[in-house]
Amino acid sequence: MRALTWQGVNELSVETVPDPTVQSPTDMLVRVVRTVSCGSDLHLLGGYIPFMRAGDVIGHEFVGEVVEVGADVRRHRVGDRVVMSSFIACGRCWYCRHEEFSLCDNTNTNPAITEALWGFSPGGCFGYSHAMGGNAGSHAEYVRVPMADHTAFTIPDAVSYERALFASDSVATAWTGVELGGVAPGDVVAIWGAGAVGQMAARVAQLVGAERVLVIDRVPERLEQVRRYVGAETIDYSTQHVGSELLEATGGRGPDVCIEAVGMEAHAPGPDFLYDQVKQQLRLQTDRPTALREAVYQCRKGGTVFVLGVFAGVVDKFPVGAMMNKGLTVRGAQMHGPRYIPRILERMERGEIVTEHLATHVMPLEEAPHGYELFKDKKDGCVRAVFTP
Amino acid sequence: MDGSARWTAALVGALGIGGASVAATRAVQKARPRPRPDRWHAVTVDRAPADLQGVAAAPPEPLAALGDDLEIDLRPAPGDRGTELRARARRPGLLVDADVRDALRRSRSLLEVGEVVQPDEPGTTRRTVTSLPLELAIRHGREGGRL
Ligand SMILES: NC(=O)c1ccc[n+]([C@@H]2O[C@H](COP(=O)([O-])OP(=O)(O)OC[C@H]3O[C@@H](n4cnc5c(N)ncnc54)[C@H](O)[C@@H]3O)[C@@H](O)[C@H]2O)c1
Ligand SMILES: [Zn+2]
Ligand SMILES: [Zn+2]
Repeated sequence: MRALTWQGVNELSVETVPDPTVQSPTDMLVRVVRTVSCGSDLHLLGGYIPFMRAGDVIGHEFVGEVVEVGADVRRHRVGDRVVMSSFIACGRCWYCRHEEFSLCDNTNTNPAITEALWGFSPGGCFGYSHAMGGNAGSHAEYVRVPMADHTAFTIPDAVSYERALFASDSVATAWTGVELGGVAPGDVVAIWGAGAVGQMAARVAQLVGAERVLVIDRVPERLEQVRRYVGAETIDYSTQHVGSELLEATGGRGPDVCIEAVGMEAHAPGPDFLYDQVKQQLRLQTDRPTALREAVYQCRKGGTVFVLGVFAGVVDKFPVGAMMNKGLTVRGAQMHGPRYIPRILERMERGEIVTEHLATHVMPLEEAPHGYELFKDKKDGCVRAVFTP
Repeated sequence: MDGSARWTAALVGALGIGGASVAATRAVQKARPRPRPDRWHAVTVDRAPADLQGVAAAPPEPLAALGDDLEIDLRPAPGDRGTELRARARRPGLLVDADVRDALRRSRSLLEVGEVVQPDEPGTTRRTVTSLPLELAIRHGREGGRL
C-alpha cells in the first residue's frame, strides 16, 4: 500500500510499504477514508521528538471503514464507519478503568524509552514515534487498529466522515483540557493557540458553560475562524496587548482557566524568542515554553493552567514563583480519547460541534508532503491538511 | 542503572533530548547509593488478589521462562489498585535485572489483556547511519528504563 513516511528531519515522502494484517484476535483492519495533519506532527517533522526511524509511517487522526476484524473483536463489523482514538487503549488496565486512557499500561511497545525520559511511560499512539508506542501511522491506505473494541468508535449515520474526523484527536484533546482544567459555568477561559486544538477547546468550553472564551494567536485567518465558526472572542498578540485585554475582559481578576494549545515550538514576539530558540538549538532546553509562561503569568489567583500543547523534555525559566505564590493548579495530559469520543459524536450529530472549516486543504495522499509544507508554514490559510488515501 | 536503562540513557543522550537534564541526572546518580542487590522488581496488576491466586505456582510464560532462579511474590495493592506482582533472583546476580523487568511487564499485559501488544510486522523502517541507538532502545524497549 501507499503511505506517508518520515525520512529525516523535515523530509517526508510517500512510499510503497507492506500492507498491515490482523496480527492478534483483538486487532481490526481499517481502510482509511480521511486522515489529517496535526500540530503534534510538526514536532516530529522538526526533529524535536528524536525517536523516529527512516520509513516510519506518521499520522494519528483518522476515520475509515472496517475491512477485517479479529476473532475477539465484539463491537465492530466489516463495513462499519469508524473513528479511532489517536491514543490506543487496552480498556482493561488500572488507567483505562479510571478513564485516563492515554496513560494505558499495555499499549506502548517501547515503554522503557519514555520511562527513561519521564520516570513512567504513557500509552501508545498511532504514528507518533517509537517513544510513543512504535505503532504505524494513519497516513496510509490501511491501518491495523490494535485493541479495536476500546480504540475505535462507530460513527452515527447522521455524522459525516468529514466532521467525525476531528473527534479522533483535536476535539477529544480539547475536551480533555476543558474537563481536566475544571472549566465550570461562569468561568472566563483564555486559550493560547488558534489551531484546531485551540479552536475546539474554545467550543467545548462554551458547551460546558463558560461565560466568556478568548483565544490568543497572531494568524489572522485562524482568529477569523474562531470568531466566525466558534463564536469566541480573539486577541491578536502581534497587534494587541494580551495582558490588558484579559484584565479588561475579566474585571481585573484574570482568566479562571488558561489553556495552552501551542506546544514546544511556540513563537514569541519579543527577545525571549531568540533566547529560547538558541537554548533549544544548544539542547540546553528541548522545548520553547513561551505561551506556557504567559498563561501562568496571566492566570488569576487560584486558577488553573492546563497544558495541552505537546512538550517533550525540559524548559528553561518556568515561572514557578507565580505558580506557587498565586496558588495555581498546573496540569497537562495527552488526550483521553475513548472517554470523550462518544459524547463528541453525539454533539456532532446535534450540530453543536462543527469541524468542517478546519479542513482548509483536502488532497490525495500522494500530495501529503506538499500538504505538510502548507500546514507547517501556515501558507494559503492552511489550518489542517486532510488526505484522502 | 540496569542493562536496558543504559541503552535508553545512551539514546536519550546521543539524540540530545533533555541532554542537560540527563547529564545532571546521571551525575546525581553516580553520587548516590546503588539500588539494593536483593531489591524486588514490581508491577501492579489491575486484578483482585483472588483472581491471581494461581500465579505464584504457575506464573505467566515470560516469568516462567526465567526458571527456578526466580522468586515471585504477590500481595494486595492498597485501595482498589489490584495486586502487586513482585519478582527477583533467588540470589543476587543469578538473573539480569532487565530480563526480570521485561518479564514482569509482559506478564502484566498477559494477565490484564491476554496478549502483549506488538508493532506492525513487517515494519516499514530502514536502517540508517544514525539509527543504531534507537534500534537498540527498541530492542530493549520493554526492559527497565529508569535512569
Ligand atoms: N495533548 C494532546 O493530546 C494533544 C493532541 C493534539 C495536539 N496537541 C498539541 O496541541 C498543540 C496545538 O495543536 P494544533 O494542531 O492546533 O497545532 P497548530 O500548529 O495548528 O496550532 C498552534 C497555534 O499556536 C499559535 N502560536 C504559536 N506561538 C504562540 C504564542 N506564543 N501565543 C499564542 N499562540 C501561539 C500558532 O500561530 C498556531 O496557530 C500542539 O503542540 C500539538 O502538539 C496535543
Ligand atoms: Zn494530534
Ligand atoms: Zn489500558
